[in-house]
Amino acid sequence: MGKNNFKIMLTNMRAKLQAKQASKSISKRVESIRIQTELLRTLVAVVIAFAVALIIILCVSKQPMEAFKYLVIGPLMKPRYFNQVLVQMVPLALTGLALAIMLKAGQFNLATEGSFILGGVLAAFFAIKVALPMGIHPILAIIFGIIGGAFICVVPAILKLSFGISEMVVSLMMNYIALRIGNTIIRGALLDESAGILTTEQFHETAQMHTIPVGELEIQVALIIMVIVVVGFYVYLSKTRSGYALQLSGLNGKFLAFSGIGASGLILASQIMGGAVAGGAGAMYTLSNLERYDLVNTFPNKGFDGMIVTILARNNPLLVPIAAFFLAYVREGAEIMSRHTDVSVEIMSIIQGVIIIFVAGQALFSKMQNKRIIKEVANG
Amino acid sequence: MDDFFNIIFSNEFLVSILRLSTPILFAALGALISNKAGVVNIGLEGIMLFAALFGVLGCSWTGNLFAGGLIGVLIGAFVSALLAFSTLYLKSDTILTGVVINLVGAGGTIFFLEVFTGDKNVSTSIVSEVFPTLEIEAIKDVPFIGGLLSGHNVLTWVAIALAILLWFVVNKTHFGIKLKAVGENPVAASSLGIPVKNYRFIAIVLSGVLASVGGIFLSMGYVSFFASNMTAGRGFIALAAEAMAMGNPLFTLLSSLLFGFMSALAIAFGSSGFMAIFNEIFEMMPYVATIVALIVYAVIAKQKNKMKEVKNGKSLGKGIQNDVRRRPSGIRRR
Repeated sequence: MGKNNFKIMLTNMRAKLQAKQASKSISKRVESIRIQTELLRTLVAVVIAFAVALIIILCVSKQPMEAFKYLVIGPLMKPRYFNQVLVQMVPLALTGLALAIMLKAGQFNLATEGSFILGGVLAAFFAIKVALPMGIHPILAIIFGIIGGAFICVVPAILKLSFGISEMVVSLMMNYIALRIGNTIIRGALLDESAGILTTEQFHETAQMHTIPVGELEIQVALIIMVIVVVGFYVYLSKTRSGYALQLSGLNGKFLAFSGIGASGLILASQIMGGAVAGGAGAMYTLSNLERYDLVNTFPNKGFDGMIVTILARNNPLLVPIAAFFLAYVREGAEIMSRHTDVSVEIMSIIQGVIIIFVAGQALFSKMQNKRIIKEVANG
Repeated sequence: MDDFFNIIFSNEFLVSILRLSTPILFAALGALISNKAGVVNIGLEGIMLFAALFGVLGCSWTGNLFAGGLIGVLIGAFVSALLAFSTLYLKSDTILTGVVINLVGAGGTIFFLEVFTGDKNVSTSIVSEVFPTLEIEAIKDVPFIGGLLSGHNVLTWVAIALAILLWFVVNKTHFGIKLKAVGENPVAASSLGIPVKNYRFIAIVLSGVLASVGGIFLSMGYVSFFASNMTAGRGFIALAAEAMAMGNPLFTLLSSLLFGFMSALAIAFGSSGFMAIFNEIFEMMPYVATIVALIVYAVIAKQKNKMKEVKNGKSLGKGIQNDVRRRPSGIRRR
């Protein structure tokens, strides 16, 4: 109730101020207050999460201070460690971006996990079964992965549009279907009988994605592709007509229909794009970091990790790499800590959980934000 | 191949179907009760993992089976209360928070396992008890009936009883009907003075409790230890079972049994070596079957509505009817 009253008040005030022709600057200032609140919330979340981590470390560790030091500044201690942050960041950013695109169209499509898996398996298939020259081999393998990823994510959208079935339930099913299709492909065609565990044969040398040495760092080609993809999607969403319509379809599909733009095509397109990005992420992850693809029976959670990134980045494509970098940094810090001290790496999942609960909580600081906005508007 | 048929025509196979169905049924009933209140609880998987771990830990701390189970369920309830608090009071998105609960469950249980026992991945260094199985000597060896009635875990019978109880609670009690009102139309429910948030909170915690019992069945019935990621997607399969049953507890029992049957078949294919690739196919079947079932329901609902329209001679207001029809009652988002 309070919120509605407030909204009415705000619109009244806006109307008055419009007469004074000052509305533009007001809305800008209101927007900046919103951004400040979001920043504050993120900061508080991070501080609380690390405080929780410190308390846990104090409880379980015999060398707590050293452990905490590794957790916080570990990745900065050696170029090799920092490099690892960048390596971890690529799949996080891409799956986060994939999810952000699909959420922009108002679809709760959680099939990025499946897309990531199937993309990886199909790339592995291509890397093992086909012999091609150096430059073309990975490109074709990635395209293969992209097609697989897009297929997984588009099924929920098709069923939603043609039968009205909840895309979220179907997308969860698609994750498992993708996992099992992947396993069937591996078992059926790629298995290395001589290896002790269930894993594929080794990829062809030509299929592997290489790194570019920059100073002391080894930049993955995948990282460069990621940056291009992120910038591309930012430009598409904010500077093109169809990107704008896509955002509108998520905010208010009916309005879009009234203005004469069909939403279904946009929804389909956005799910294909999201699935393609997640599938490509899986393919690139496989080709840059692995030499064989292991058979798994549970999710590697690489696609679901994208959800944490999306929440941290508030669905904003430009913030996705920053959020992914932060998350990769925390994970690498936890890994270095577990290698040097007696605290295990899984503490990072608790840190993530605490951060997300506070960042995703829209209600936190909302009172303070509203007060500030009212003040700002009243002062006009 | 003979091996394979020996396996699937034995009483043990029947028992294994029920054993595989039990955790799915518990979690599916959990999914059902939160869905009734209009909240999709995706965090079931993580909640089950937490309960499974702390059930085993509690049992080794107290030395008592039931105390251990209780500790597991309480921790599961606590995690689901966190989910409820976060979505209802901090207004975070239910689905995203649920996924995060799963991620925290996957990593956090490994962390706590190592903190409390020093083990990584499997709790081998602590001793925990298991819930007993009920053998009925008289009919144990009778084909089919023996497998149907004897040799099941206590918790399996509890799960079946709960499915029936839940049907009664949802359809015949004040609480259940208010719960459905909250799920179907929160605004109308709140205008009648039903505290929507409270009902949703209770529903989420109850769903966590039910999933937790499924979790402790895994670590204290199915096997006698905790292993990392031992739920292996049963929280998700439970969502599928609930969706397939369209929110009816008794149908949920049937769909859980169907999924248990498919898992048992997959294991039989895997262990007999007879066309091992079918292992993967049958593991996939529950999910495919759910999608197919959802499509069939949607088509049937469409046909029914069309028939009604023709009967009543209605053609006006079609747009509104379309909107209403688009939301089958079992699957509701948020």
